[in-house]
Amino acid sequence: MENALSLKGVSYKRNRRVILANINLDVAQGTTLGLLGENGAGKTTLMRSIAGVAKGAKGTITVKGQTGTIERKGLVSYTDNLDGFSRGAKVADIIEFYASVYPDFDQDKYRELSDFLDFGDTTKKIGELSKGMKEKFVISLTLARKAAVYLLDEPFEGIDSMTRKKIINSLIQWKAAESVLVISDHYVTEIAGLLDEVAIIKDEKLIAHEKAEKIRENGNSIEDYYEGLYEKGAADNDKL
Amino acid sequence: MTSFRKINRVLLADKIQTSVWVIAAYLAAIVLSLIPTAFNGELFSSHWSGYVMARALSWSGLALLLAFIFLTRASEKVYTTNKYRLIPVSDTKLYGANLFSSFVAFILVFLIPIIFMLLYYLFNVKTVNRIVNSSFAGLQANIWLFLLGILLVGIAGLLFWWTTVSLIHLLTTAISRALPANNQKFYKAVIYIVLIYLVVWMFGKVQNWFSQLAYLQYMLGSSSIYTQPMWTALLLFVLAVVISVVNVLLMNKQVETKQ
Repeated sequence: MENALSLKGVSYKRNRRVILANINLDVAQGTTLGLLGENGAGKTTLMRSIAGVAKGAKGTITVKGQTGTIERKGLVSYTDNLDGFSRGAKVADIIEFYASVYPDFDQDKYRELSDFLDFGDTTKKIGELSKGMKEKFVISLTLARKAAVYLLDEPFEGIDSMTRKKIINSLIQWKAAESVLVISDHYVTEIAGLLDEVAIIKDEKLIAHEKAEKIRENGNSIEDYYEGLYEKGAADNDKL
Repeated sequence: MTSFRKINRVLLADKIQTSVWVIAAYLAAIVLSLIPTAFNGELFSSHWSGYVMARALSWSGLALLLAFIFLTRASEKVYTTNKYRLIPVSDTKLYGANLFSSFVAFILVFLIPIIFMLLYYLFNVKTVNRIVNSSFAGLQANIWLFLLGILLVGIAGLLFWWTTVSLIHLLTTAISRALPANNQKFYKAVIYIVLIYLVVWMFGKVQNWFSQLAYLQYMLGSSSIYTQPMWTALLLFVLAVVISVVNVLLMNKQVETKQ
């Protein structure tokens, strides 16, 4: 199957610190990829690089054959916690903003998604939303675009289990079949059932990229596989 | 891709909100400062329009300064927030729309004292004409051409200072990302101080060079009450364009959103 997302030798350095080192990754269209790693491993920076907002990233990032930053921005849906919207901004205004600036934003799809997630109140202000409500809103906005790649950065951080289940169900139901969905998290159990592939980042490097099916065939759960790789790394470091 | 018209529309909507707040505060200040004249009856005399215009003009400087500060702040935020930087639009378009929307929003505030002046003129046509005629008596000049020159200097100056503030902001962001993560606030403060000093120093040098150029024009006999402001406006405009090119390059290569 054709790759919808391809990273070749992607490196990123900031404040005299290497954050990503020579990342190579190919993701076929239709794949749900779990981007796993500890806090500070570089998951968010990798997502920002794919979305085109991390400047100075070396290497080549290709989304559906497009390498240019503007073209990529048009093909990647990434919301990043509503950065830039004031706490006083109303939900309805943000939806209108999205409809204005993203030609692929589908208001009907947004309505269906937000109804599914029990998030229908558009009169509320951002500052009035609970963490769970805000996350539901972010996911509704992100998935309401007709994008080739969707990036969700730790969507379950600080969210109760009921909301988590709702969000996971929405991802299963609403992800377009041909699109790539990248979910970053460090709570692997939550998203394991969703994933087709996992990519693990550790110490600014991509240390593994494996199909979920293959991991399960080897008798491992994704969580064991992930923790095993991290423990192996720690043991190797201890030996040194 | 997002069109220039659409990006401009969303930026304008945000900035007009800022302008509306400034205008509301400006009008409130005028009304409050007119209260004493209402109590002593002066506001209801035949000179009422004079009192209103005097208050409107006295508060206009502060209103314009506040509009400049708030719009500059809103403008600079555009370069470092995902709300705008994630939009599929080129950095040149985003930068252009940002500058244009700030300008339109500022003009909105600027129009309010102008409206007060026009109102005064409507109620005092003869007096104003007499004052203007006596003030410019003997001056062989077209006052409207002269005012146009001054207006152009104002517009070019506004654009120049906005682009310069952006240059300082974007350069500081670009330099600080190359420095260690610890003590970033300290580094940024030092970079800001050095860059502001450099900009003021360079502006002084350019002004000095320009005054020499103007003297040369005078020697050649081509300087006039009209050409002087036109030359100043042209210089400021060229500088604003050059600085804008540097700003777009910085946005494109170095300046990213906050993580």
